[in-house]
Amino acid sequence: MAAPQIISRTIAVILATCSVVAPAAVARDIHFEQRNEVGHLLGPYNSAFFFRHNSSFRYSGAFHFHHSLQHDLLQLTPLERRHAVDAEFDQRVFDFVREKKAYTEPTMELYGQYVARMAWRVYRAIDWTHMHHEQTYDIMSDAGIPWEKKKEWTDKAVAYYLKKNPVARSVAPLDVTMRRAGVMMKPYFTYYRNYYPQSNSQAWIAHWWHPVIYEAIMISGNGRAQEQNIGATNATMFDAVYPDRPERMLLSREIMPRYSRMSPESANIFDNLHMLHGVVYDILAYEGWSESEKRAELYRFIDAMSYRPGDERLARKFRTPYPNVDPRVYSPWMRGPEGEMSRIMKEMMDEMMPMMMPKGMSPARKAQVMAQFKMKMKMGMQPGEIPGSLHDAMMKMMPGMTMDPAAVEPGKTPQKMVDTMLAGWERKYGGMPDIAPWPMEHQPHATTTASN
Amino acid sequence: MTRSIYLGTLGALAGFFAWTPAHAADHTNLEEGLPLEIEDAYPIGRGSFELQGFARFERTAEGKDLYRLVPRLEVGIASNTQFTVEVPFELGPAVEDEGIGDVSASFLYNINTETLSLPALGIVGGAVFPTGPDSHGVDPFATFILTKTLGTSSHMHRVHLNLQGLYNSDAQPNEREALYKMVVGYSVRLGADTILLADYVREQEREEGKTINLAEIGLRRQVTPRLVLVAGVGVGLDDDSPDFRATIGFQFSPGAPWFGRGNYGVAGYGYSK
Repeated sequence: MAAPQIISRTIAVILATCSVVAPAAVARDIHFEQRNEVGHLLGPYNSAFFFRHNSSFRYSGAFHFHHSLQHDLLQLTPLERRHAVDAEFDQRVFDFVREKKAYTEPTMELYGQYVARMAWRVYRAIDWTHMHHEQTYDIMSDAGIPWEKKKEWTDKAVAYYLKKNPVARSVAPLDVTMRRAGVMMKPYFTYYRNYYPQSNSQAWIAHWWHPVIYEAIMISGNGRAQEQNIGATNATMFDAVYPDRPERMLLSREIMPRYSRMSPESANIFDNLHMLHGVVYDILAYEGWSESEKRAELYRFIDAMSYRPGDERLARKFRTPYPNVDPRVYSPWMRGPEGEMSRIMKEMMDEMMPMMMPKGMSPARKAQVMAQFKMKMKMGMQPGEIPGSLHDAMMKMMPGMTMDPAAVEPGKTPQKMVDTMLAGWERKYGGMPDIAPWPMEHQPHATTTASN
Repeated sequence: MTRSIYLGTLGALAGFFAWTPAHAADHTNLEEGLPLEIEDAYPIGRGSFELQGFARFERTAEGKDLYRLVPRLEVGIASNTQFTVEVPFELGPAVEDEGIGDVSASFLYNINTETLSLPALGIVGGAVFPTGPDSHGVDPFATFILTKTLGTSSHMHRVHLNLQGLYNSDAQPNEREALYKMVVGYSVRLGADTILLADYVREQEREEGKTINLAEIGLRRQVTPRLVLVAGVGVGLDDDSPDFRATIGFQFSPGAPWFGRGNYGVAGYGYSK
């Protein structure tokens, strides 16, 4: 029999086998969706970051390698094997970053093909927002765009990002979007940071790195100081940040105050993306739900933190606690668990507690609850920490706690809880004046010496 | 002589891919002819356009040399839909009248993204126009595409199937009225920036009784965020098929033009005191 006939008949057998196997696949969860991908915005600055700051481009690619593969590792690894996987992945990511193995900017599917097929819209949201990172880095890196025009181009990139894809992250600050999400009492919340602390710390290094690179450009201007200051910031990553990793997710307002004032929309988009990563990883690490239940919750969460018309009115509702931060310096306040993220979470806990414990609790009990809450917010498991999620810990400590079923079920929003928390935010911050824009009329005096 | 060409081409390809620095983009989106016949079920993004082209050397079954230069334009005209037009040029001793070949235009629509239970499915509808010498009639064609990932490895092992039917609307004596083409392919990710692919092609020629069978292998490599370079080789599996073919090509994706302004379509956009 000639080779072509052998090959043709082999293919026929494969197709016949598939027709038998397909019914088995049908018995599995079936869902149908389309990719609905959108082209990246064309601009004169495209690829400026790649060509001008190629090392940094490749560090970014390495972090996105982490983000990509992390999805499949969490979904496919039984929790009982997490310690070994966590350690091995941490080393692999560090090697990837140090050796700049990512020539490419990985899409989430490139290393995370299983979750791509399980919940495509998650990747659509992440890749679309990584596109905005790419656009905004390019604009800031392109010396051909005058300094006073950077904001105009950035605003156009923001508008394109928001208008062209319904999975765009909101331009409202994380304080608002995290309340909308209503995730804190879900049975998965804190799984990633508690059970995969080393992998989580890589994410928090990435979420330190991305903002400080913007800020390094903001203190440099368009000239050669960009190369010097970005280089110094990258050196800080290896010399200081990796040996003593951040214990919380740093927010844009903390470590890129200048850029946040120049483009608060972008700053909030990135904070919302970084939070999305963490919660998605929580859901994937959790073993109590099926894949279809996880997908329902993932999509609910993505929708909850998506852009809504009118969010731009909230974009400047934040303060910058460290307005003169030097991005090249890893200051002590950047390292610990206390900061803007923990403040937001604690406020939300305080807003939820009266609903969950309508009869109140004694000061001593409250102190125990908040102590357990603080442990849950930290990476890894602390001595005395109750296993499981924040919800599990709260239920153990307060068995009589009143819980909206939607607060714990996949794909459901605890609307009353969300409304209560948003009302709390409105009372505290709704009337705060917008943070002032950052003046871009003149380039900064190029500083090339790090200061504390 | 032929063996020298084979080995020389393989050596040059190996050197090229060992040396070339590689950087981001969509090297995972397989396109027909770039560098193999196999394509996957996914179009380019809505609003974007892509410039593509490949150059192919082929030693025909008759032992003559054929050179094809194929520039191509792809446009993401709608969600999950791309439009493609290509204008081939054919040169060399295998061609009686050198010059433009048959222009083709087509639409690819992706029915669904691959899920854990369903492969990705796509359909192509298009036509070949009689712009080449000795061409007759507008020939419509349709292609069914399937893409399926295998297992849970992060290397993206995938199989692809293309089934095409073409209607030869003005069939000449000794020509088939209907032709089919079947391509079965495999792709895998090597590192972050390179895709290895292979396929088997079975394609009926217009000439009655003639069917080619080819095996091909190639690489797709991202060299900048906007540029993919490709190279591949193929060998015929019987006497009716070309002895050998070698292809190099590129894909350049500038992005999606947009003429909106910073506050375009975004209600209330701006700074408020």
